[in-house]
Amino acid sequence: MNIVKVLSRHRLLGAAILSMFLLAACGPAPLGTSWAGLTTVGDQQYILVAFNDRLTMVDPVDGKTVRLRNAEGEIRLDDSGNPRLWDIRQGQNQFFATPVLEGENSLLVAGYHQVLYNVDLPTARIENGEGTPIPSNTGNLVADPVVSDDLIYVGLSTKNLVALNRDDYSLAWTAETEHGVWSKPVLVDDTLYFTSLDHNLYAVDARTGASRWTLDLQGAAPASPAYVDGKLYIGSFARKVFEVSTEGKILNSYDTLDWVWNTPTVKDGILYTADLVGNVYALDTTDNLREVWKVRPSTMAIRPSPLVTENYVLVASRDQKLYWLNRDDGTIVSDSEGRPLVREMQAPIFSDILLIEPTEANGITEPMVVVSTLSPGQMLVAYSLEEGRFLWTHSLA
Amino acid sequence: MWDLILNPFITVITVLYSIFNSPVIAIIIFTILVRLLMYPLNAQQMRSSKAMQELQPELKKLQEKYKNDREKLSQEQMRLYREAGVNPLGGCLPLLIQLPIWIGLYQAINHALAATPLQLIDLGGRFLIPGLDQLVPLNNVFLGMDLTQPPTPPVNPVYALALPALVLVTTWMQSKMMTPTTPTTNDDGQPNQAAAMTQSMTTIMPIMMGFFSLSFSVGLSIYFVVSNIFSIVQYALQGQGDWRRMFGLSSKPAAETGTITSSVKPKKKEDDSLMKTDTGKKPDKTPQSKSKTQKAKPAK
Repeated sequence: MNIVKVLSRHRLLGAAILSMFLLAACGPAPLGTSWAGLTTVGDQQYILVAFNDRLTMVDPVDGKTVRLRNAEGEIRLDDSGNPRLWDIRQGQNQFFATPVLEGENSLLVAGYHQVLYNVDLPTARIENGEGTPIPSNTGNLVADPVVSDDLIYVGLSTKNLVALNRDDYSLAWTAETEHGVWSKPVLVDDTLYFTSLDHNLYAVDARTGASRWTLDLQGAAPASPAYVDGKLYIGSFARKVFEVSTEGKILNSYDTLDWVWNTPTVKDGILYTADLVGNVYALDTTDNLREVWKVRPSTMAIRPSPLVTENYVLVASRDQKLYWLNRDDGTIVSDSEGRPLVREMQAPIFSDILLIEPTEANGITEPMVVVSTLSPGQMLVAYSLEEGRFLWTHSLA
Repeated sequence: MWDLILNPFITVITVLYSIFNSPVIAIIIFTILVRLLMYPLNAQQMRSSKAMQELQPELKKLQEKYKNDREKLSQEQMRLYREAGVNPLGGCLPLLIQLPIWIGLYQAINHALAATPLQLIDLGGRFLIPGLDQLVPLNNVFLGMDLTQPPTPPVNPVYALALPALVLVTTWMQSKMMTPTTPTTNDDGQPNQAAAMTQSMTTIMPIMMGFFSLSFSVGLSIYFVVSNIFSIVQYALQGQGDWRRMFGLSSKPAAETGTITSSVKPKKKEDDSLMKTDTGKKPDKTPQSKSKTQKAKPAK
């Protein structure tokens, strides 16, 4: 009775609340973030993370943000006497793409909203202010750019791939596609290979953009092809993995159980890939993509490329877990106590896995794997490769 | 759980896309189909709202009569609802049932257009019919506009800004048709707070929707426009639309002109009992005659 009374008396208030609820539920399509782009730079193999509007460099030794140093190697301090950190918060833009080295001390970073940034590595400063807008408006920047001697190749999210002159970012040429280019092009000699969501794999002249061939992959292809020993390997949403010649002919194909969204990893003649329902495949590239093994460690999407080492195949899943698989048969590795070597994190993992080997320069004592989750609180997590021992975590505070 | 709504919706919109080879036509037909499916619920809600509106004069009288006795007021209100065969929640329940469907409709369009990698990856496994995944992603360019992006330049051409304007106009028209007209002042000359609030809502909501459409994707703006037009046509077909009032041609609301023709008339006996005063005296006229001869009191 009271509810009725209140409802009838305050129906306008109710309407207002309902409206707010609707607006909240149907609010502006949230752009959200993408998964972090990870790469390593320098002899120290510092880990560069591009996530949301942040660019951060992390020391693989301890997982802490790298401190800036002056020419004498001393740590730079801010006005409060605190160390200056290698951390850029752009604010006005988002980073979906992984930064690429443009020179020894310079990074090229593609901002989602059609802007390219030049970042000075030693000082962690954006050198071109608000960035340089690209001279094309056929989409945003999701794909990682590729830098050659003279040109920068940039895929656009709605359609087309453009080549920009490095000196002034003016448009050199445009390769037209019918849908977006979301993956990093592969530059081999003077040919640029790239995939598009329009289902095609393209090969164009890297200097002029003239088409060499186009191959229908029967489904959207959001990942880059792998180029190994004169052949291209690529998966698509057609639930297939293709082996393609550099002349654009399909040499072999293998049917997967779901969409494939990663660049296959090929090691010692075996191709490793995974699909978006958690299957992992090992295929023999020397025997017409014959299936060596197929396992399903996870029931959720495996987006990152498998990381293949001497003994293991590491895959990370949307189920927030990192799996160590035996390279021989795909079974889950057991640790020294006989437990499955699986590590669980706080959020889904979509970024590619990094392997950092010990070197004299980086001061690491054992090989480590670094994964990135969608949670800023667990942006990076490092484990030892051999035992899966937790080493450190890095959060984007 | 949410997938039970979302996955069929995404499947249907993709099937429509495969038939018409146009994302915009798929969105339009899909929106109309879903709105047609919700038509019975929507019609019931509108009938209930209309009945409640028509009871407002009687409710107003009760409120004045029992303004010092809330418990009695509540009892009398419930009796009025019961006798008139009106469920005061009758307008809310269909709305609550429709809410998840509206949101599902919105989310399905958002997912199907898949503007970002995470949205595209989330589309995997949602198709209930084999083979549809080869259509992914849907072609998202229409008349030079990227349907996955907001209408603002430089990603979309300047003419895409017409869509937020259309969202604003159609939302305003829909609000005008839905909102009952109430006098701006009470009998005592004081401002009618409810009327003022209603007017504000009618003005603010379209502006808000138009404003938000600047950051919605173009595809979603198309959905809002189609959905609004559907509602306007529906109101018009049900005789609910007052086009003169919408364009300001009718200066006086129905309640002020004394033309209340309630289809929900309480029986005379109950009317009499309703109008008994606290001292047990009867008023001079029955509520029915009063409502026809006197200036009706505004609904609160």
